[in-house]
Amino acid sequence: MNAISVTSLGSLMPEIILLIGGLLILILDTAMSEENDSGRGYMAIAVVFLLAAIVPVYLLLNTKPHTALMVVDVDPFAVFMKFTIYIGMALVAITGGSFMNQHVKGRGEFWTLFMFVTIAMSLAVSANNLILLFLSIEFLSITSYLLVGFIREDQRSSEAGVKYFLYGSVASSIMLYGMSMLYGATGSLMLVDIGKGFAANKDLGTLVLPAVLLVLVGLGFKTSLAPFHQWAPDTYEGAPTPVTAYLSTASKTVGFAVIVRVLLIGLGSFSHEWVPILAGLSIFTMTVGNLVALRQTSVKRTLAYSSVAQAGYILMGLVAVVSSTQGDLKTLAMNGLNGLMIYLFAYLFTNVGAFMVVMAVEAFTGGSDISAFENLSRRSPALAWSMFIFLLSLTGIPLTGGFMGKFFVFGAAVQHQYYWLTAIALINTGIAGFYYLNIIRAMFFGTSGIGTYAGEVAASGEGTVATSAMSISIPIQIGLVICVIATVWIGLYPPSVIEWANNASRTLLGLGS
Amino acid sequence: MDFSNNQWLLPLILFWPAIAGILVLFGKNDRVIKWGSILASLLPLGLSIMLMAGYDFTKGGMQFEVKADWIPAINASFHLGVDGLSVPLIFLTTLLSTLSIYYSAGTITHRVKEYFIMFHLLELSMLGVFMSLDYVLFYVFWEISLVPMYLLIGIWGGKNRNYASIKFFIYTLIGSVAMLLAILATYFATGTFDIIGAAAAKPFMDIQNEATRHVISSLVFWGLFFGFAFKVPSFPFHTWLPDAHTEAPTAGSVILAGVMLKLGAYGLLRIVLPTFPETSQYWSMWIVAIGAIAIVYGAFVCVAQTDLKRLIAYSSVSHMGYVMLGIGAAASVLTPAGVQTAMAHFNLTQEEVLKSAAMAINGATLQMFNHGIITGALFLLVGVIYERAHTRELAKFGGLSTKTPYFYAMMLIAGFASLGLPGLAGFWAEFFTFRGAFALVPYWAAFGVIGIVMTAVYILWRVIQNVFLGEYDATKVAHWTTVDGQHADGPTDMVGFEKLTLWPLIAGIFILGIYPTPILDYFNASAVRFLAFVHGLL
Repeated sequence: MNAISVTSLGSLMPEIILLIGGLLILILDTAMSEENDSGRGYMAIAVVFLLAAIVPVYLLLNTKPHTALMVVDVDPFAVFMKFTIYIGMALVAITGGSFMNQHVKGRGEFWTLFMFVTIAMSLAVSANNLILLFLSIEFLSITSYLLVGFIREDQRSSEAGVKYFLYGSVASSIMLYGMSMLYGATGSLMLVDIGKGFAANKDLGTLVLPAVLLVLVGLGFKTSLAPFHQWAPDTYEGAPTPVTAYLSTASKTVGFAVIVRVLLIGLGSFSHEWVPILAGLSIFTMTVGNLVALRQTSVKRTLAYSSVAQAGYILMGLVAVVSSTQGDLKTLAMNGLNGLMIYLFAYLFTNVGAFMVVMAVEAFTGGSDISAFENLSRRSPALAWSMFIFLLSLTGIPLTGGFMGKFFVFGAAVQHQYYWLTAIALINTGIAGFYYLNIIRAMFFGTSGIGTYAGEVAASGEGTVATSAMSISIPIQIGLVICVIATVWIGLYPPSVIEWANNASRTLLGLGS
Repeated sequence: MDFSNNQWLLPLILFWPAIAGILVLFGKNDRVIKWGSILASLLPLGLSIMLMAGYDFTKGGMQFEVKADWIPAINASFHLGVDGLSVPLIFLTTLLSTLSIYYSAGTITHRVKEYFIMFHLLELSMLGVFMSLDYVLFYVFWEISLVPMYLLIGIWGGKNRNYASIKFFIYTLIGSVAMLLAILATYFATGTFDIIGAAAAKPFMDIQNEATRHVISSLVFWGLFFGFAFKVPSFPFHTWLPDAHTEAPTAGSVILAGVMLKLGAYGLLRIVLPTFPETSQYWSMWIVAIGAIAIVYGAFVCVAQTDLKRLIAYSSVSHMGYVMLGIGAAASVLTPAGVQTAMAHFNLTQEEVLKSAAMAINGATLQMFNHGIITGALFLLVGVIYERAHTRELAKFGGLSTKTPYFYAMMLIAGFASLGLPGLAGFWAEFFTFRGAFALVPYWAAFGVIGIVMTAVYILWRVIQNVFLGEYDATKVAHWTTVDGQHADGPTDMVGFEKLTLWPLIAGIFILGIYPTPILDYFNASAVRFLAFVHGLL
């Protein structure tokens, strides 16, 4: 057993930086005790510390797996996930920060919580022990409940917070029950030992199904897998948009990372038991998400359901991962897990970007209904074209990150001959096209019948739609530029991302790098 | 990347439209954008003529190849190259793009900058499909060609454009995802994304169990086939086409019919037939049937149309049926066993069978090229009348021949070429296709001939007689204008820029009608080489 040493603290540098940042804001907030502080200073501290935390994470990307403080695994998989999460949180802080500063009271508290929620996510993806796993997920949940309901004057925000809390606490307790089964079966809290215990004793097989189902209730809640997704649309819609942006990306990344860890390390030897469950969840999630998204008129809700559907695609990666260990070298290019990681990484920029556009439109028009997006290409070409790229990425059109994610995930599924799963994913991609294109239609095509011909343009009259130009604030501009560049970069020239994901997935799967 | 040996040529043709698009982005006013776009589009056209001139027939095969690493983790590379199949199609793409851009400069008046950027992107993506020798690259270009076309229909289209554009996008999206899955399956069977390399590796043929081999290779075949057939579009996947064509702006229809439909047939010839000869042969009768039914069905539907543009759109379904018929006929003799069967069945020598197969492919490929020119001209002509009458309903026209003689003459030439009059371009393609098909699949070919007859019916009766002959009735069209949207008392004849757009196509129709060899040589070289390849004679 590793002793607590100074060297292992080095591996925890990112978390330590974040902790210092969070505490600094907390202390400043108490010390200044100024009621109407603009919050800009806190935001600056948060952004600086988040960016500072990305540096050690980046340096650790190709680290050798090791354990810090006995319960924190520092392996490339965890580091990749942290990298994703920190970038997402930094983007949200940069672009959404001023929105939050305008709309919330107690800005110091907000930014403190924002830093703490990042630490919680960071620990959750690293935890190799059920206790830390549960604690960090609870930590994440509780801070998230607060952030969702942070705009106290806004009833919808409060309602969203309560809803999230009610669903979340039930899901957590059910998950805890599942975890207790794992502990009871093997007598250990360490995932590795649980894995060994299950591998050694095939009689424990009867316990796998209930335990997996119970654990998946909790984690499915975090990742908004159907049928545990009901909270998502209401919460996403009611929560302040920056909070929604991180809930649908960074928080979801955590959920998937934990599912991967628990199932692959803890229950890897019983994969035949849980792969069908995951496959079923994947199909159900993408189909429900897409079908319900078709009926939405609010762009925010559409994106919420789309995020449910995307979770279904992402899960395909994990369904396909298992038999990879028997593959030969040639087939290992797509082991499923790297698809899941690339997908999450690309999805982060795409979805954060999409929610930023929603936020900008909301700030200008006061709503996120599809009608608020009408004629956006005239009112703000930059916003419209950014959203266009994000929507193409969500659809999975090449030269965007979303395509690379789908390419690797579908590739893994085809490789393992899950033809029926890929067939359903194919149909779903078509269904999803409808509602993504509907937003593009609103933004670009206008409402009245404009023909190609001069006479018709004059006759049709575009007076019915607001055409006043929209201005976009500088932070949102910066955030959008980063998101667009990253989305296109992952689609156009992705070798570095693929290499990180390959390395991480191979290490976790024990394939050697 | 090594740039000696003319390797700069393909990347320059390919990426020049992207550069042009970026330049347009900084264009200050509409005039500069329009003229800049026209001038910019001349460069790829000139270079593609250079490409045709520079292609070495004695060497054959892939030339001007460029290869660079792209995504090493999955062996995907940036691999371009052209052979006899792609060279004329690249020329067709650049020619129609230039003409469309020139025509659009005269007719597009709103959101000019976006329009021309989209058009350059469209050209880029189509050229990319014809040049790619890597599956991933091919797929990337294939998919992104959807996006500018979707916006062209959606922003600059007619009244029903929302429905038409989304239908176009979703149909082709589903088709292409099916294709993606098949591409991935091929990749896992061969370990390479190289199109030529995968064909050489004979994917799935190493599976011992015959039933499994058949099921898997058939699944992959149909996955690819769906992707390509949606684009062709062959019956019964054609329903997006009339809507998309009818709503698209004129230049959009020209590109859609002239080039984009060929992407599907090109995919069949470049990927499906060489990579899966056994499976293609097994299913060849389906391709033949789909093609023959499309010919006849498309022609009959044409006769029933009341909208001139929709009629031309359905004629594309019918004419692309020839392409499928030719490809299917050739597909039936891709293996020695298939050749033996055909020899025994139709009492032919081996040489005759292979010659017929080459004929069928030549007919199909020549039809791809000629249909591009002819239908391009027809859609432009529909645009000409629509600009003036603001309606395309056949019932509203009549007796235009005396009012607009120039327009009448152009329509006659394009129409006769479309119905396959000897001496015009359409004839040779039909001749070769049916010559090949009659030898290999006589019953279906005989069935397809009904379509030829019906083509004459709809061109002569529905188009020529309905629109141009008979009595001119001034009250039928509510409001005539000139092409600039000025009031006019009746139909006005074609103006300079319209004539200039059409002349290259009309000239092409005549030249290729009298002497098809210049284009046919390229196609024939690739057809012969392809047959030699699948029969292991290379």
